[in-house]
Amino acid sequence: MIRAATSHHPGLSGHSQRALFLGLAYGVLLVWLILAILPFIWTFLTSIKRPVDAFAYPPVWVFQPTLMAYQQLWLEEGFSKYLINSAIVSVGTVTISISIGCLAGYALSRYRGVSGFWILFAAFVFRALPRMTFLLPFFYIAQLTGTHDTHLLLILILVAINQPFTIWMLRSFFAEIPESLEESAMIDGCNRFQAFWYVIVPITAPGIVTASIFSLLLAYNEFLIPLVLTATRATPLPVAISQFGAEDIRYWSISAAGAVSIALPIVLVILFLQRYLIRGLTAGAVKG
Amino acid sequence: MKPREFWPFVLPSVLVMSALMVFPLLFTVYLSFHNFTLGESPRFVGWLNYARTLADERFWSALGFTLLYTVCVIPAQILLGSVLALLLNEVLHLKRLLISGYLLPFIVTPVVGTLVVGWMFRDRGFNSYLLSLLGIHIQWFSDPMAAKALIILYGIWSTVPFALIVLYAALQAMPSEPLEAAIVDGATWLQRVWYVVVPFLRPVLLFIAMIGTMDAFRLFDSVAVMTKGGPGTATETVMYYTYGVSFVELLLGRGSSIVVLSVLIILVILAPLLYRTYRDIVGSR
Repeated sequence: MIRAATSHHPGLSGHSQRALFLGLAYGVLLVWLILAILPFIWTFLTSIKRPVDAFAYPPVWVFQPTLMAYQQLWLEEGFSKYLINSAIVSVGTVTISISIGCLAGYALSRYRGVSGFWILFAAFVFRALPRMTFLLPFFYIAQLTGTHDTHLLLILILVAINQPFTIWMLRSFFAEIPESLEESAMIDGCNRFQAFWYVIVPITAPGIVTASIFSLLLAYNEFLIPLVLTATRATPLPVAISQFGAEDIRYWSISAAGAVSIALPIVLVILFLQRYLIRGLTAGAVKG
Repeated sequence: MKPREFWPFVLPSVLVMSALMVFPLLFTVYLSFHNFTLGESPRFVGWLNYARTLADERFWSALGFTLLYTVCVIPAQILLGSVLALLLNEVLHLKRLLISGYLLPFIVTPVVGTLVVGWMFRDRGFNSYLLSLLGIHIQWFSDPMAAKALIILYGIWSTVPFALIVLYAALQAMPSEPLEAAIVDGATWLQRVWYVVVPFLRPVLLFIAMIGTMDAFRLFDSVAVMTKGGPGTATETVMYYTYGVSFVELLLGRGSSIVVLSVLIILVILAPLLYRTYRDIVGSR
C-alpha cells in the first residue's frame, strides 16, 4: 500500500493527517459510487411509477409504486420473445466460442512452431478492427442465402468476433498450467486429447468460467450486429428496447421497465461471478 | 507439442476466423472498388468510392468527432481511474460494495446504459432538474456542443470502471520495497505516487489507452441510441456514418470504402502496440 502516513508537516500530527486523508478518500469514492449508480436507481424508480408520477416535475420521491409498466411490457408488448432470442443467441455463442476457443487456446499455449505465432498475431490485429469491417459482407451474404434474421447467423458471427479475445485469454490461463501434468497422463496411456480433457480442462475451470463471462457479456450486450442482421424473428433485447421510443415521455415507465428487465439478468449473473470477471480484467492488463 | 497434434486443436477456431473474418475483410476491400446495391451485380468503379468519401464533409466531421471523443475520453478515463484506484487501495472498508457499484456501468448493456444516462439529461430528467436548481438550462439534445459533451460524458462514465479495476488490480500486485524505500527517504504521498507508482503502472496505462482507442473507433451504440448522430451531423462518429451510408442509404460500395479507410487509420494509430505485441510473442517463444 501507498500509505499516506507519517507527517512532516508542522501543526498536524501524523495521526490526524492520516484521518483527514482517509475521510477525503472515502468522500471521493462515495461520490463516484453515487455517480455510477444514480442513473440506475432513477430508472428503477421511474419503472415503478404511474405515468403521471414519472411525468411529474419537479421529480417526486414519494409515490404509489405500481408494477403496471412491467405488466404492459411483458404481457402486451411481448417482451419475453426478445428475452428468448437473447437467451438462445447468448447460450449458443458462449458454448461454441468457448469449446473451440479452449481447444485453440490450449494448443497455442503448448506449441512452439511459427504458425502458432502468426495465428496469435493475426487474432490480435482482428481484435483491433471495428465490427463494421465484417458486417457489410455478412449483410450481403445473408440477403443472398436467406439467412438474414436467423439465430444461427447471429451466433456464428458473434463467435467469430469473440474468438481473438477468447483464444488470447484462454491461452494465458492454459500457459499457467505446467506441461508436466499432461505429460505424465500421456505416459500413463492417455492420448493428447484425453490428457487435455480429463487433466487440463478441470484444473483450468476457473479460467474457463472467466472467458465464458466475457463471451456472455459480448453476446448479450451486442447491438450493432443484430441491428443490421435481424428484422423481426431473431431480434434480441438491446435492439428491441432501442425501438421503444426513449424520447417520448409517455412511454418512460415502460421503457424504464424494459431497461431494468434487460439489466437485471446480466447484473445478477456478473455480481454472482464478480471475482472471475475481475480476474479476467487483471489477466490481460498485468501481463499486457 | 508436435504439428500433427497442434493442427486438429486449432483448426475449428482458425476455420471460423478465416471464414468469418479474413474472408469478409477481403470481400470488403473488393466491394470498396465496386458500385453496388442489393439485387444487382457489383460494377467496377476504380477509386470512385474513395474519392467520393474523401470529398464528403460528413466523413471529415465524423472523423473529427471520433478523434475529439478519443482525446477527451481517454485522458479523463485514465486520470479518474487512477485517482479512484489509488484511493481504493488506501481504504479498508466498503471495498466489495464500492467495486460492485463501480462495475455496474461497465457490465450493463451499453444500449441500456445509454438510455438510463440519457433520461437523466432529458427535459424532465433528474440531472436537468438539478442543473435548473442552479439556474443552468442546457438543451442537451438540440445544441450541437452540448450533444457532443453528452456523448463524451457518457463515454467517460462508461469507461472509467475498466481503467479503475485494471489499475486497482495492478496496484495490489505492486512490490512494496521501492515504496518503503521512498518512505524512508521522506517522500510525500504525492511524490511517492508520481515517482514510484506511475512508472510501475506505465505498461498498464498504455494498455488502457490502446483498448480505449480501439473502442473509440467502434463507437456506435451510445450515438445511435442517445442522439442519432444529431443535431444535424454533430455527433456522428466514423462508425455511425458508415452505418448510415451502408444500411440507410444502402450504398454498400461507398460504405466499404469508409471501412477500409478507418481500418488503415486504426492500424496506423495502433502500430506501436502491434509492434510491441509482435516483439512480446517473439520473445516468449
